[in-house]
Amino acid sequence: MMMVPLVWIPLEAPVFLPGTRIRIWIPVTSRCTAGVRARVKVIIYEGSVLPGHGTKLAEYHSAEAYMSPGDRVDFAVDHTTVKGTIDRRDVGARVEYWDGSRWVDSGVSDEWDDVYYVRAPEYNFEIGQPYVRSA
Amino acid sequence: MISSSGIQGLYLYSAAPGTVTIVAPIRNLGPAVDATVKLYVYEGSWLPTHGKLLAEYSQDVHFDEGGRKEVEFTHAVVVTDEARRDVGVEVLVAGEVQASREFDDVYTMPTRQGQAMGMLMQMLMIMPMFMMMGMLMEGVS
Repeated sequence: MMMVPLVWIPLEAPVFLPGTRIRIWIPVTSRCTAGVRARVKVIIYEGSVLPGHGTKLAEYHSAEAYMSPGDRVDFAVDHTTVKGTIDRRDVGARVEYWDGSRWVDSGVSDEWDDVYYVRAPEYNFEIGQPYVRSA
Repeated sequence: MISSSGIQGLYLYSAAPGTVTIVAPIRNLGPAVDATVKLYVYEGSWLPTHGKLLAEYSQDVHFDEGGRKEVEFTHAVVVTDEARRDVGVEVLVAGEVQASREFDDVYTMPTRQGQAMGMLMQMLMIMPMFMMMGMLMEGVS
């Protein structure tokens, strides 16, 4: 059994405000020789300036899907963005399959840096000279 | 009458005892947002900073993207020994200060001593009138 998770990463990763509901898709192509029930465990981390990711922020399981050999499924999870100590977010994915009695880690996993960014809005106000008049 | 001070300063609004409206013009150069505008009225000071805090006001204001608002505060003037008044303005979003500025000598008002002198001057002006009226009454009788 072999599954290849591929995530589509835009050249310019999207930027979201904290508290935004987003959906993350993990496209998975089955290289299995037989049909299989599969799902994806998605882990969201803070990014890091160092090699590797930062703090783990959330973990989700996608809905399961039946995949015939050669099928490609876009597994999805929903997440609400959170403000962190750094604006970049890394995403990790592990593919799991149903062996007839339990979910098993397929051993296929990957991790992507800077999939999206979370930034607080930038406000800018110009305060002018106050003036006074009789009430 | 509207005050004009700071660099443009030609004259200052001279407030009489009572209430005045202090207007803070604010331009939002960012996205639309619900903000809180705070206004502080201080005694002026000869020192580089302001004097004693006299009043503090707060108002919730919605700013459209790129919008400009004139935020008005009604203030009951406070007579002290210092004639000048400084005004501080703060803009907060979700409790965090996004912009703040302070303006010196936004308006002036009579001091306690000034008011006392004014009353004395009025009495001195009125006194001759009473004296003249008394003399006229005596002449009639």
